[in-house]
Amino acid sequence: MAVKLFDSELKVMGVLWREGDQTAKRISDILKEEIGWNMNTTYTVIKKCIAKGAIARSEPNFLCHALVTRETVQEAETEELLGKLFDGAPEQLFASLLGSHRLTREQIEQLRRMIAALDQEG
Amino acid sequence: MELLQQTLWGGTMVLVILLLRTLGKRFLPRTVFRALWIVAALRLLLPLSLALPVPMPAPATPLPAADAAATGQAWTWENTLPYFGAAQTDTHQPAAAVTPWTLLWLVGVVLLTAYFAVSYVRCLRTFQTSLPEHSPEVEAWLAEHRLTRRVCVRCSDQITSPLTYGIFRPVILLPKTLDRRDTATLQFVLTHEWVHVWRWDALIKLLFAAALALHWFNPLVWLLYWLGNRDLELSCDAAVVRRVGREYRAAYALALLALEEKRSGLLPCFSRLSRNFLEERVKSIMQYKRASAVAVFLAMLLVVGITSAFALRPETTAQIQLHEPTAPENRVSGEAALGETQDGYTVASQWAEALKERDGKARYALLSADAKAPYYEALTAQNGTEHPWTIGVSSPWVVDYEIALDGAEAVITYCTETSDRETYIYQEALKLTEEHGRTVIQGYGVTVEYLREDLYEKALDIQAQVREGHLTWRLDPESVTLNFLYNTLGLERGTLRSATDQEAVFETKDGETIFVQLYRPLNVENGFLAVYEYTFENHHQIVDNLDFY
Repeated sequence: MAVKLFDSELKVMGVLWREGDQTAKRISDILKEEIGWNMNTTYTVIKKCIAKGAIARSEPNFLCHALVTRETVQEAETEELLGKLFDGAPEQLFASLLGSHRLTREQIEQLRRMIAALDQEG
Repeated sequence: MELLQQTLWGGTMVLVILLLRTLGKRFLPRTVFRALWIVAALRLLLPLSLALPVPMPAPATPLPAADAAATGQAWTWENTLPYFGAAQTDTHQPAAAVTPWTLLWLVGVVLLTAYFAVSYVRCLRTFQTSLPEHSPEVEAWLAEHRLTRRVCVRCSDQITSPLTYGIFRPVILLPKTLDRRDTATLQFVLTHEWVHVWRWDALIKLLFAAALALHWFNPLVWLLYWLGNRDLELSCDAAVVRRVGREYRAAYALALLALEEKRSGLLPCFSRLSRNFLEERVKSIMQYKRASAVAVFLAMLLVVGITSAFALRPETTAQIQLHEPTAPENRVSGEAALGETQDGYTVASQWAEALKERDGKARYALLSADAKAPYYEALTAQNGTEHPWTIGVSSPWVVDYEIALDGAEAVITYCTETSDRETYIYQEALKLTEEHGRTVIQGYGVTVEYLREDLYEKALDIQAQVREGHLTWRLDPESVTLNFLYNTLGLERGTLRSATDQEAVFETKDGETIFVQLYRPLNVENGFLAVYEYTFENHHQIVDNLDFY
């Protein structure tokens, strides 16, 4: 089964594919330069990759080795951000444009009609 | 407990805002409610002492009318006020009892805070794995909209809706799926998030969460949290419409719907309670009207009015306070103030006049039935049965007085003068009650006895410093007594026979008994201040070195 990676993970893999095996520290330095991640963030993403089986870690120095190639990797799909327990928490704590609404097709159409009607009224 | 008072005031505010919201939703600008929710949250979070002077916690006690203070000599307050007899520890307030309720409250706070903190951190971790945004359209927009804080726009494939996070280094996060080339939608999205950043909404949301974590037991605060967050969004939408122009409001609403549709398509379609919110938002956007000048003016009045009403708590004075003599709003020089407190003021000023005239009979008339007999007894004990009604002293004499009234308690502060033009402060506290439709005095006591004015001011200053936490101190009554007996009177090599708050009996080595009359120490919040004036035979002295620990 193909490994599915998010963009963040693909970024990390990108470094390995480009530069070959690197230490985690080196990867985080590179990414700090390129995209502004702090060290903790990079390490978190690397660990995610390891968990997904995309990277192999060897000691010493937390050496990272890519286990998959660019061609075999698939993009992961966006899913619910944090799972059931913290569902809805993002919009409570952060200003999100859309809330945790989930509307059916009919409801959306209904709202479209409402907009048209209220627009008429001026 | 202060928390309960905060919650009461905050809760009442929530009800008021709720009422306003229901009535004025259509014509008042939405930012009004946003502002009021913020004030309510602040009321819940900030210590009440930021509002008005903190009242002294001395409890109200019925006065023992015996040993009438009519002559201005003997001390009549008996008990609960911390002074001489009780050894005072230097706790600032009576230690809040840790009841099971306190523990339960703490558990709630910890749980909620943990929930908020954990979700916040987890979200933040995910947000931080975002990638920089490179699209030219976004960069063009950013170039046109500057802020004092540098705003970053980044891109994430792990979110489904644009959002903004970060308080000091705000970041607008765009989902990868957002079509950057749809410039109209992009503009709406960026404007919306930009307004959130500009208004520090991220911080406000934390404020609401903090208020909820502390006051989780109050259902009205849950309401604040829920509606406050909603009004943040709604007022943001209104600001967007105002900025892009009212003629584009339909386009804005449709853009929101389109984004929602795209997103809902990716996820299981199940309705939730919060779907109504999008409907409310759409309605609010479509019905947006530029607020009229009247509405704006009214809105400002409301915000100012409600803020002051709830920011200023009525002063709940305790039984005894050191009242600064020049508080202008309390100046009643012998004339009764009009209004509902007329009775209290009238009675207090009559009581004061009586001291000025040295007329004990006038005071007798003002007392409650129970207090009359003991008063008469005290007067006769002092003055004899022939002419018992002369009260007060000939020097210093009353020049002026001020009355501070709070509910059933009044404090009269007298300025008295001697022929040498020295001013002394004399202060009485009265307890008022109703009797047969009349206001009468149930009890009274002397709180400050002919204390030199500068020492009185000093005492007030020390009291203020203690209250504000700059000074904590404690006076050991016995050591003070000993201190001034030994050092001031020079009575070394004698023994202290007894010491009370009023007198000390000392026996010299020659067997002579020295009897020293002390004056009552003044009360301060968490300790007490002893300023001594004493009379030793005909020798009147003031000890103005105060011992601090």
